[in-house]
Formats: sequence, structure tokens, C-alpha cells
Amino acid sequence: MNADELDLRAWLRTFVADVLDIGPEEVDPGAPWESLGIDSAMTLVLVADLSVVLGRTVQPIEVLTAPTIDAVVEHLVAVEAVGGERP
Amino acid sequence: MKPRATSRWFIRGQARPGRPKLVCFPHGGGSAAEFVRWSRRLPDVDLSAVQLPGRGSRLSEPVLSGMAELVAEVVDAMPTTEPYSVFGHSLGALVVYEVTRELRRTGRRLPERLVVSGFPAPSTRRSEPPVHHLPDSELIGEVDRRHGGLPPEIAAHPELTAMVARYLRADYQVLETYEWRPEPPLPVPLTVFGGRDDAIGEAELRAWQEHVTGAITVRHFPGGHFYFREHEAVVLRALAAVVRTTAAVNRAA
Repeated sequence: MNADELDLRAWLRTFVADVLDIGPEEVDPGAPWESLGIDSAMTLVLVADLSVVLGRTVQPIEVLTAPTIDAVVEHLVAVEAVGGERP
Repeated sequence: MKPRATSRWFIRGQARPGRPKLVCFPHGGGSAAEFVRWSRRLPDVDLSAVQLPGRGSRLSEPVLSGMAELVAEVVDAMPTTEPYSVFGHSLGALVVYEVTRELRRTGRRLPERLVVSGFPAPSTRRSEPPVHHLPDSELIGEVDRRHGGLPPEIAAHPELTAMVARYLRADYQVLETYEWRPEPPLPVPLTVFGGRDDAIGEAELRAWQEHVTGAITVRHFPGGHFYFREHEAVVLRALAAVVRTTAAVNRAA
């Protein structure tokens, strides 16, 4: 499964919704990670789960240097499109 | 007039308009994100938390490594038009104490209550060997040995090590270059929270008494330096009660 097929944005919003105990529709994909309760420690949990879902190793830095859910989705889709960074 | 930087400095938890306000200050290497997660268990509190430069969405900004400059920037961005309480853990306790002293110096509204956690009274602090000069991985290792709370996975990712070490180093430089100077005690009610198994002694927590004019309350919770991660529900119930009671007493007055 690649990033194009998977609804990455929905997956990330659900991850955050579970952390904050709110509905996925309440999670703003344009908000900075810290306002969604995600710090570097939570990012490690997120990339471990995301790596399983995507079938490739997602590095913590790929999420930590993208300020929002939208930015991470854009980055991951671009990486998938060029077929790079597979282990 | 330069724009106030409130939105970069103060991250909102779940919006609770009309509820008592609580502004939280993170520990060294900490993030506002942890307090945003608290929001779900503090339904009667309108929570916000300080995000320091060099981490999270402020990753690309220069870090601050001295208490005076850090306090000046926080006070400049801090919303004080409405009543609020403050909570600071570890380094955050020291920062929030210095922020409150600066608010007094600049004639701004003081917090209704200070809640300080996991940090000895500034007047009594023992100095530990400094760590802020250590190489990246030694710095992270030593901080984790002293206080815990740093995920072991950081060491497995060199880029992550460098990213974390940059802001952790800045925070420890703030702590290790800090010098307490006497000032009259603050006219602000104070509550001290601590973990029973933390290395900080009872006397060092009780000594916060000399920094305020009123009587203080000391609450011990089971657990270590990060006791609130071990027993989150218990600690947050206690914190909510402190904030609610403070606001109710002041509104009734």
C-alpha cells in the first residue's frame, strides 16, 4: 500500500483524535503538532504505527520537521511518488 | 508597535471559554504538547501552555539560553488581561517564579495562584555538576539518568539526537547559569506538588514558603520526578480542584 492509496490525512487525524479523546473531525490538519498534543515522544509512537501502515520505515525527523498533518501528508505522498526512501 | 507573539508562545488546549484560566510551563526539554493532552482531563479549566523556541513548530527559531532573556520574552507575550493561575514543573517552576517576579516589576496582573512542581525553592537549590557543555548524546544520557523521561529511541536516530540536544542544552543552560537574587516575597498563594520518590527533599519543597507572603500547601503524589505521568488522573483532579477553588474564592470576594 502506498501513500496515494491510503488516506493518510484521515489516519493521522484519527491518531491525534485518540490521543486527545476527541472526534477525528475536530482535529485541524493545519494546526501545529504541539497544539494537537504531539511532542517528540508521541512522534516516536506515531512513526512506529505509521511505518507498519505504510510498509516502510518512517523516520521521526520526517514528522518533526513537517509542522502540521497537512505538511506530513504532502511530504509522504511526494516521497512515495518518487519511490524513494524505501528500506 | 511590534505584534505580540502570543500565538507562538502560548499554545491553547481545548477551548473552554469562561472557565478559570491555567497557564502551564514545561520542564527542561519539555513541550506544550504534554499540557495540551492534559486538557482532556481538565474539563473545567481553560488551559494554555508555553512553547519555548527551538522545538515543535518553533524548531527553526534561535533557542534562548539565559533566564533574563527568556523571562522578558515570555512576559512580553503573556496574556494578563483576565485572571489566571500558573503551573510550572521542574525548570518550568523556576521560570514561572521568575516570570511572576518580572510581572510584578513591570506592574502587570499577577497570577491568582502559583502551582510549582518537582523543583526545590530557588533560594535553597543545590548545584549539580553542569551538563549543558556535554556533547549531544552524553547530555541526553545524563539528563535521563538524573530525571528520566527521555525516550531511549532518541539515541537510535542521530538527527533526532541533534534536534533534542539543541533545545535540551538551551534549557539546561538557563537552569545552570541562573542565580537567585533576593526580592520581597510574592503576594500570591502558592501550592507545591511533588513526587514522593523524587530526589528533591521535603525541606527543599517546604522552603518555597519563604518566596510568598501567604501560607503554602505541599502535596505529595506517588511516583518520581514525572509523578504526573505515573498517576495522571489523580494529579489532574488535584490540579483542577486547586484552580477551580482559587477562581471561586476570588470571584466571591
